[in-house]
Amino acid sequence: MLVLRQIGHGDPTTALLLADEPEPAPGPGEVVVAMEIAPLHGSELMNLRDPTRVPPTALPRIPGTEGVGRIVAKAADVTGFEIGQRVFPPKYSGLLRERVAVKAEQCYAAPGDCPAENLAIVYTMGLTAWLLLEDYAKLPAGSWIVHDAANSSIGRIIIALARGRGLRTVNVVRRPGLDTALKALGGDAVVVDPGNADDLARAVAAATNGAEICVGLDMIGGPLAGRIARCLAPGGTLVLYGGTGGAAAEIDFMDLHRRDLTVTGMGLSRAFNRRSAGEKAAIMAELGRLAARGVIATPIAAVYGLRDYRSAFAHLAREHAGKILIAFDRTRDAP
Amino acid sequence: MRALQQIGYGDPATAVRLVELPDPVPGAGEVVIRMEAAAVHLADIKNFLGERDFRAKTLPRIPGYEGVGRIVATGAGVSDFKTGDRVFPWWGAGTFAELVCTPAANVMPAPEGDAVQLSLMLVNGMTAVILLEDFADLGPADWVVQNGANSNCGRYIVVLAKARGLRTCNIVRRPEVMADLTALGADAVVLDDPDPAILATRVAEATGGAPLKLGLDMVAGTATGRMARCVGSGGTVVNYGFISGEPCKIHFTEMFQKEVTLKGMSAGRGMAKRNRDDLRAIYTRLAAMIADGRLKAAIAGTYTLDRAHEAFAHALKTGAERDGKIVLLPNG
Repeated sequence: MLVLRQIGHGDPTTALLLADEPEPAPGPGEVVVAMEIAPLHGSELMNLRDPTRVPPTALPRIPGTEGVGRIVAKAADVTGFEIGQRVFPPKYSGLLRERVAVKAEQCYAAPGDCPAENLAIVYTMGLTAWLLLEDYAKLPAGSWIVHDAANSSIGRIIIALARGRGLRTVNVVRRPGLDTALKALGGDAVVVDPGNADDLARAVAAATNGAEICVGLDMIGGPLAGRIARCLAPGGTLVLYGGTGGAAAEIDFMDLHRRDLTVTGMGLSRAFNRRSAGEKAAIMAELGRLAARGVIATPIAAVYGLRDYRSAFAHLAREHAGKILIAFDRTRDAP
Repeated sequence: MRALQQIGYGDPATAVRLVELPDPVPGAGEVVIRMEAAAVHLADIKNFLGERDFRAKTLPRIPGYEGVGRIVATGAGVSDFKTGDRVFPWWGAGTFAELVCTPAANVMPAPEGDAVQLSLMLVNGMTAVILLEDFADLGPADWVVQNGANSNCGRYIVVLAKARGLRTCNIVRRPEVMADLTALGADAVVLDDPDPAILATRVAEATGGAPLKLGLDMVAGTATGRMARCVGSGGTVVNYGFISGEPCKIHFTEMFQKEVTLKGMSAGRGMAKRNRDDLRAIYTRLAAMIADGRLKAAIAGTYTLDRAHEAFAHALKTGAERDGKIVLLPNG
């Protein structure tokens, strides 16, 4: 079976190595999952480039943070899962390999009757959006929230899930032209970031008729996080959840001092692991249903086979609209 | 009487002038206080400079948040105070003047003792109390970590925390102030470092690895993120100043890995949570601690009103050039 490994840092063509290895066998409590689909997130590029994220001592490692596959073997002591069943294998378990042996208790059942592509980003991106809204935005119906990177994969899921919860979203984006697309997803207002906090706050106030916005969600960090903070009502909360821009969030003293804002950060694993096994399974089941029905979805930029990992990573490094997916049943590039 | 009058914004040398005004006459329920000492705060200077969010609502005005003095005249119906009583006017009475006329209901009795020290109680004292009381559920022997520890508020926090049975870990930028803070009652004093990992290690060693629930940040900029690195899981960083002149900079990783929360602090909000009796009780305790020398500010300089421009220039300096507070002596 094919396994992709990160063996160094730098350019994907030299830092990554594709190998053909023996099939894994399930150990006690394990199932073997034949991967169907896995997304390449931008963080994979950062892992290749930045030795502070992935120290040399952590190499070699297998990239791949999430995805979906079907059980092809299981240990005798595994109950609750059947051969052929589709599952979400554990996140961050190195999923860019054709088969992976994982603990059954860390897998979640996935819908079997929809295209695997629908389920590609449920376990980290869908779950992040769900937990953000559940843990930080339990607000009365009709309340507004504001978030940035609104056209990102998570941003788009936030829009759809917020709509499902009766919330209204102000969607902050970097470029014009997204109004129709984000409103079609359920977004209520789309505001292009003017790059200045007061201007953004004015634009957001105009778009919401001056509504009180108590929750802001920031994926990027840096000065943009501070601009989102400026849009919040007194006593509001800004939740940092990605830091994908790489820079520290910059929150103005006066926003904290005069308007009593709270700034906090949500980590996916911590937020999820606070919950009981039953709650976790119920959340994943709900997200699976929503994804199967296309309620939470991400545009797909391209689908590559694992053998085409070089093209896939090169595409990841270019500007792209939507997710780049690895489909494990393909041997050739797809359109 | 002579008073400082703010007539504009910009360089304090032109924005603020010394003027001669008629002596105030107390109306019904009012008292006139002859000011002994009036503290100069950075917020005064920021107001003079016209910095955003610090501007006064109306000009001209007599600046000065706080101070201490003695009553020299009382209006009709004033029974709680008499001429000669030493008192604190309430926040924002315009204390950079020889005489302050204010409602008797707003003044509080002041003890005998060093007027310069007492003139600093209102703002820094309340700030320190609110920081220690309102943001974390602290138990006996819990640690509080703070930067800007050699500031007046920082020094008050050291003493007030100790009085509550708490321990303080104090981050300073200059090694020469470390011994002084230890003498004041600081349980640990560590040198700041631009590298958050180094600072966090120093703090962890100094506190024996205790989980730190509360970090107090008056510096902002990258210091906020360093403070987040120092506090423990679920800890709170409270920012209450920005002497770096920068926004609070805090990395997502610093926040989410330990679920750290960043809050702001406002004395006005803290006081609004407390009733009048509670506030007066807090000030009575603070005044007693200042009068008997337990709470003691470092004083960098005292100036008469005719040297106010020198005072303001001095107040703008930092580090070794201003090792303590600036206090005006309106009546010399």
